[in-house]
Amino acid sequence: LVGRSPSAFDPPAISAHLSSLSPIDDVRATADYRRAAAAVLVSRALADLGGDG
Amino acid sequence: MSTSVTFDVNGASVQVDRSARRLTDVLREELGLWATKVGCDAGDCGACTVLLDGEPVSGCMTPVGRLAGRHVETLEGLHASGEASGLQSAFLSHGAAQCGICTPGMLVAASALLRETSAPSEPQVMDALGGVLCRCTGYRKIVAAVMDARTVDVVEASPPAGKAVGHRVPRVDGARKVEGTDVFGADRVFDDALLIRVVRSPHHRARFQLGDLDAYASATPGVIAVFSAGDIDGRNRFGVIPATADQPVFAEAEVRFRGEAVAMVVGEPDRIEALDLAGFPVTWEALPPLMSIDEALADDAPPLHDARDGNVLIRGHVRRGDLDGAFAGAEVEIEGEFETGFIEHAYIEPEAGCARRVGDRVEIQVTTQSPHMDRVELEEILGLPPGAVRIVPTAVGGGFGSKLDLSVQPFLALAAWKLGRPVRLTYTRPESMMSTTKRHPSRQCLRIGATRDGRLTAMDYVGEFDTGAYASWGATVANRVPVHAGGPYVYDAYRARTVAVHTNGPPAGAFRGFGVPQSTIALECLLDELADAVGVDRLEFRRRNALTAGVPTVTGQVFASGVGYVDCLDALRPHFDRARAEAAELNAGHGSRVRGVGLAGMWYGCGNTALPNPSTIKVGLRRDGRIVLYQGAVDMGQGANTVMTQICADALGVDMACIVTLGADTDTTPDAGKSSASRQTFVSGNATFLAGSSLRARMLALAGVSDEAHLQLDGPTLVARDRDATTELDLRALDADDGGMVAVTSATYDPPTTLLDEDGQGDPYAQFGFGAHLAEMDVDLDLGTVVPRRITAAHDVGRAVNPTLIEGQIEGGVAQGIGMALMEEFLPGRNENLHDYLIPTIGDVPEVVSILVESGDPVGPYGAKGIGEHSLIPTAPAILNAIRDAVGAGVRRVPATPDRVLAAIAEGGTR
Repeated sequence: LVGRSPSAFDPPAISAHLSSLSPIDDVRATADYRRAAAAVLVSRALADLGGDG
Repeated sequence: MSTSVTFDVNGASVQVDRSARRLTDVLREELGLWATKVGCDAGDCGACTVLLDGEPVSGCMTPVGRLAGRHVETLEGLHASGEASGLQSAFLSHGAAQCGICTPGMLVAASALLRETSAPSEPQVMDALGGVLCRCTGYRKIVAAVMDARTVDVVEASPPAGKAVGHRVPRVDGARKVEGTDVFGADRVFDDALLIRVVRSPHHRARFQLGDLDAYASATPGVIAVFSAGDIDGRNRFGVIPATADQPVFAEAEVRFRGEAVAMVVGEPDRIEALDLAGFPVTWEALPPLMSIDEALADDAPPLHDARDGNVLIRGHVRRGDLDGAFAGAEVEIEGEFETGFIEHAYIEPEAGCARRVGDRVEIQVTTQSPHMDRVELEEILGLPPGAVRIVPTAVGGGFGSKLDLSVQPFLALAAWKLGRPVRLTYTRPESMMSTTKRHPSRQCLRIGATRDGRLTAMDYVGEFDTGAYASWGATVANRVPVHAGGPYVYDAYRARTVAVHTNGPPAGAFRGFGVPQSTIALECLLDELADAVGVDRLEFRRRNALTAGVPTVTGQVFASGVGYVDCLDALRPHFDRARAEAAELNAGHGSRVRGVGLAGMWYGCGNTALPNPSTIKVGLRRDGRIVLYQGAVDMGQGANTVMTQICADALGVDMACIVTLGADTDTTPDAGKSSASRQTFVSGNATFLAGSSLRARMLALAGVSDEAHLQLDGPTLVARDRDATTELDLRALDADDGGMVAVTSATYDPPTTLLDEDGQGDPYAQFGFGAHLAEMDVDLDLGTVVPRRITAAHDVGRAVNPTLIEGQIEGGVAQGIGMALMEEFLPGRNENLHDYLIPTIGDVPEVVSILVESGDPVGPYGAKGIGEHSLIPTAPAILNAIRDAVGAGVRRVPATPDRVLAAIAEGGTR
């Protein structure tokens, strides 16, 4: 990631980057939810870094 | 290396054994500093918060071996130095302590904050207290008290004689709660008490065989005795409703739920505590459990109880009007299915108590909501005559319904009786969560019809409730829900049917509302959909169909007055409009967060359903000029001690300060029934009023003055002012009984109700409370997370005996409603602790605006109604309606966890 602009990371790129995650299913949420939430949180963090959040 | 460690506690040096013992254990058991409470022993609840070198830490997670040279401060120290006095006064005056079990931890954490900043902001208070859980207050009054600690000097003076009702009187037992001196179940210890540990099933369902218990007892150091089912001389069955009592103290041959007791070990405390129960001689043969209503109702399901065909404990119903005809005439019809899970009470005080044998009797000091019921049940279990058991309730660190049922009591009673030695038992948090009652899981289907102009015509409700392995309050839920499932609305025709089904889950019992919070979720969520379908404003839709005085309820009961539902809706109207306008403005920006506004109403009958439930209260005039109120209605934080004292003072026409209020003790206080069903203010309040009025008549006669006279107690002198004449009577000169009482009266009140007929028609309750909540929630459209912004709660309380206590009930109910809506579900075997089972923390409860409507109940004392359960009931459906308002689709399975909300967002097409 170093050296690249946050704006280079669109949602498909973030999802691809996070594809190695294998979250658990449990009482609080499904694994699918955790995977989707991780992508949202990463994209928000990147947007904040880029100053366009 | 030294075998001891020296550190400083509240400014004094102490030397204790260097060991891995927890600091809480040393503070309480060795140093006698009982203000520090233990709620979980796992660093989750914060009740044990103390200061270590000025920093708040969990005492239960702090081994004393690490404390050499360090400084520990507890509430005792902060109280003795006067440092906490402003905080303590603010807690009293704001009503920030309810049951009081979390209060020491809160005060200690707040003291650390106030050392850093004397005028903390709300976020600073929330950060500082975020590690301490409270299940009673909803936190709002705690936050307000901490922010106010520097400005409250003295607690408000008591009200003038005859004016106590309606006054914001600080709780009469408040000082000991804020000083940390109130004695809870685990705080009362008889000298040389032996320790009990219970052997429990690790399986949901299993056959088992016990090995040679005598050999185990004699071979295991520290074990004095082992008891199992064969040691029960009386009846190895208990249950809060005699007709369905089915739960063994110790299982016989088969266990029906995970956590069920099969035996107990009693012995020397240190050794019993360290004992590894894995070595206990029991062999298990696990059997396939029935873990859902569907599995339990399947044709080939094995019966949990021989006498209950098809695993059905009981069915309930209410029918009124021509249902088919009313549906045929409906122009709009809507239906839905809703599900809820087990919910854990999660009081911060686990079940605890101690017992001793006194001659041919057993005395048990225990945390309980129902001392007289406990006494009768224990006498039957022990096979002892009536009166052989004495129950002395300790302070109760939260109950919410689960402490109505026996938990530690049979083990304590049996061991003390058999061994003739004092014993004690405190449940661990996992033991408490796995073995005590829960809220009933439910699956509810309902169908509602209306005319196109928005008038309700018909409702048909079916509710299946999972009552778990044993009956507990299953029959009460099955009978209460059919009366309430239609809400405070009028229908041409109505039918509600319920069934309570046994599974191998934990026993489901009483939890604030007896099934009505579940049925209200189903009804109120569907009403919003119906209002939208007919195009009528959601509040107006409810108002148009609201029950009013003079109109029959679904059981045909007619109230001439005291029906304040429309008033509650009207009180919410400006808030509803304001919230909708704000939401529209916020949502115009098309951001990822949207505001939703939701509304839900409720009604709830106070007292038992169509059954007698008398309370008796005794009041006496003592020779020293004190009025003694024998107040047997257990105060578990809701404020019964204070409410009864206020009512007693006004009935007598004297200053509250003359009254000495004695709490429950089955040897000294008459039976004021159980603290449940929102009945104490109403039922015991009426008994208090009658007893107080009767004592006033006796005092007037003693003084020889008229009914008009103003009474005052000036030391041992009764001063009566009757018109212009003043009579003074020296009470010391009068005859008195052995207890020094000059006059004693007692009175009983039983609410006027009738049995329900075969269609469920009749007068099941003598009064109903009404209410409506407005929820403003923010929903994150990408994460599905829901953040409460504000809850506005309007309740018809008849007459507010103590507005501060009522607000406390509302805020606490709202917090539990937030938990029910958004985060709480108990899964047997999976989240038996307070880090996996989430309850609302201080940051989860938003501003709560309470609006008290006083309709004046015709049969309540001074017009008062119950409020304890009412406040929880509409919160969850209001939140679910707010989510639907925000995202365009509803969540029909609680809790509305982010994944479920995200699914609704997808369904609603908002994203």
